[in-house]
Amino acid sequence: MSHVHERTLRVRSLARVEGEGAMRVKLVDGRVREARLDIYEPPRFFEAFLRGRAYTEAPDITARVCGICPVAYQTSACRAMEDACGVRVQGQLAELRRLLYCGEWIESHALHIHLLHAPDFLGCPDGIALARTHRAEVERGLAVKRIGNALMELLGGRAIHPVNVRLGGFHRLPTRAELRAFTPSLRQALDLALETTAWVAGFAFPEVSVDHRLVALDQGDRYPIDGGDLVRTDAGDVFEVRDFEDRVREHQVPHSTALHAELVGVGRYLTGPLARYTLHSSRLSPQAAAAAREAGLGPECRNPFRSIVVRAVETVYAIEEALRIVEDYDPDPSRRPAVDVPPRAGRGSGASEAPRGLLYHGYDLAADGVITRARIVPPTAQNQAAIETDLSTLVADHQDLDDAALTALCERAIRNHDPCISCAAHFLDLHVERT
Amino acid sequence: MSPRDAVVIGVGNTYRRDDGAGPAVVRALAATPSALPGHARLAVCDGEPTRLIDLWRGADLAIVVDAVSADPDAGMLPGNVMRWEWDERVGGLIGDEHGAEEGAQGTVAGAVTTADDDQDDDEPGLAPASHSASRPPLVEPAGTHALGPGAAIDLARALDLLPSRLVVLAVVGDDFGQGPGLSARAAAAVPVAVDRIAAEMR
Repeated sequence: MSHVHERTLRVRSLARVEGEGAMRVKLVDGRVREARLDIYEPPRFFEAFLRGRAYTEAPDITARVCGICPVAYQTSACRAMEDACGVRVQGQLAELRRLLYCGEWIESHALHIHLLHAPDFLGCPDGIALARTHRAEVERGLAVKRIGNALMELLGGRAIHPVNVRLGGFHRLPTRAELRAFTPSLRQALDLALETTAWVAGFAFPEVSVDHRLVALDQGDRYPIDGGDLVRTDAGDVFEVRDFEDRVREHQVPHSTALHAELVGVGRYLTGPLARYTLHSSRLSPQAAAAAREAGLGPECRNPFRSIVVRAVETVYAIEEALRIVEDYDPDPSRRPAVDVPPRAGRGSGASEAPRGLLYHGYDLAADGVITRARIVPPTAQNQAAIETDLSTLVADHQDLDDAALTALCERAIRNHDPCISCAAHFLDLHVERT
Repeated sequence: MSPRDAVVIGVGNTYRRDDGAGPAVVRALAATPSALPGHARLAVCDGEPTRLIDLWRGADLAIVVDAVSADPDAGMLPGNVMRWEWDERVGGLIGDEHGAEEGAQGTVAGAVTTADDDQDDDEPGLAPASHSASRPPLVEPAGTHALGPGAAIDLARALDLLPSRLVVLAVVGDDFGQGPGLSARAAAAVPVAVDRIAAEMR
């Protein structure tokens, strides 16, 4: 008679992530048989209903994929359409796009650090409980987030699903005075973000190092935010964004309404803060780099639990970038707010670094600009296999924990990556089975 | 006495039919300047807590207009306008005329106003029945990244950022399907909510 010891951990609805997903881990005789991130949010069919729409509509339609990172969708869509039409947005229009994107990074990172991720390190069930025990820190986070919101409202017309973005640039440009008025609050936000970096650096982090292939855009001499024509991996591989669909293969898995992505010839990979930082920490501004050093980060970071520190450093960087762009902004009144983007038949690709990772858009256009094919590869879909590997490794290494403690650790492992299930299903509930 | 700093915040998604009732009420107020004192602010919000808190921060009076699902057993019928007000003594939102269980910690009683108990159920109006729940059944987003108005109240309370007075008016919706535009019953409730807000401001 054989005795099989089976253990199952389940979370039916993951908290502090965007969208609807679950987790299920199954152990049989001490071996992890299955570690699944179940994404049950209904598929959203954006790629299908973009077909037949005008190329000019893609930025506003795809912004609706996500209430947290609409600027990422708008930017990647614009870049892809402009690529298809042979147009390149440069100069101050490109700088304003980066500024708008900085607003989104500041807002999204401040939210995740203070209300979604920090509770995991401080024994709080949620951000509201954290506000009761760490009021000053949460207020500081909200103050930083407010600056991000305000930037998005000024440049985008509103903080959610901005309405001022169009192919080629914007519908209306801000005045110099409007941007300069942000300087004092950005300087204050920079001080607050530096305090936050020092705060999160003091958390207790499990010693973990992941070996996922790390993938991020390469935006030249800048830390990648709003674009980049090249995709770079930590193995030294570099390819063009326009080859993304040849280098990344998506496939369906039964437990998810989001497609899993893998690098052809490599397999799973990870995008997001750890990848950006590990590949491009040398491109941070001096103050952000100093904040990273003081927070105990080396030139690379492969511990997903420390992603909260990387996000804090990236927030410092985004604020510094915003300050730089605001102070350099000197609009020529004769310049139009957007360059013309006349349609033409062809294929276009564009990508940018959403707060949680690389976001790719690819479109085929007819000569009149009607979209005949759309492909959107969001960061959480790309990260899904890496997150499942993190779960599997953690469970294998922490079998001494009881089910409640192990489940809590697994949930933390998921939140490390700030997954956006709503984007991915374009996904959380944990099941751990022990046999 | 008219509040010195008042804000009306319409919460909802205008692309999910009656969930857009809050923004529709704000639009109607904007088109009826006489309904509000000159210093009153109007805003539309998706209900994300930090944005909601920023909008009501420091206000003497904040009126949050949202949509709720119908609950016939609780007397909440499509087209009704429900009213709750924050009561710090009980730590909850209290319906101001019926069913408040005074002193019951955390109890929220629902809501009601001056409706004629004999009103036709098909007519919009102020709901006559009381409702008991841990909080008004506001339509909360499913994603926990984007917590809803209930979490906003909890977070604001923890941070001592609630307005001096917080009133929640809710239009009971009939249709929360996809697409713009209100159902006939919710649309007919909009002027009722406008009149109610004007009265709150006086």
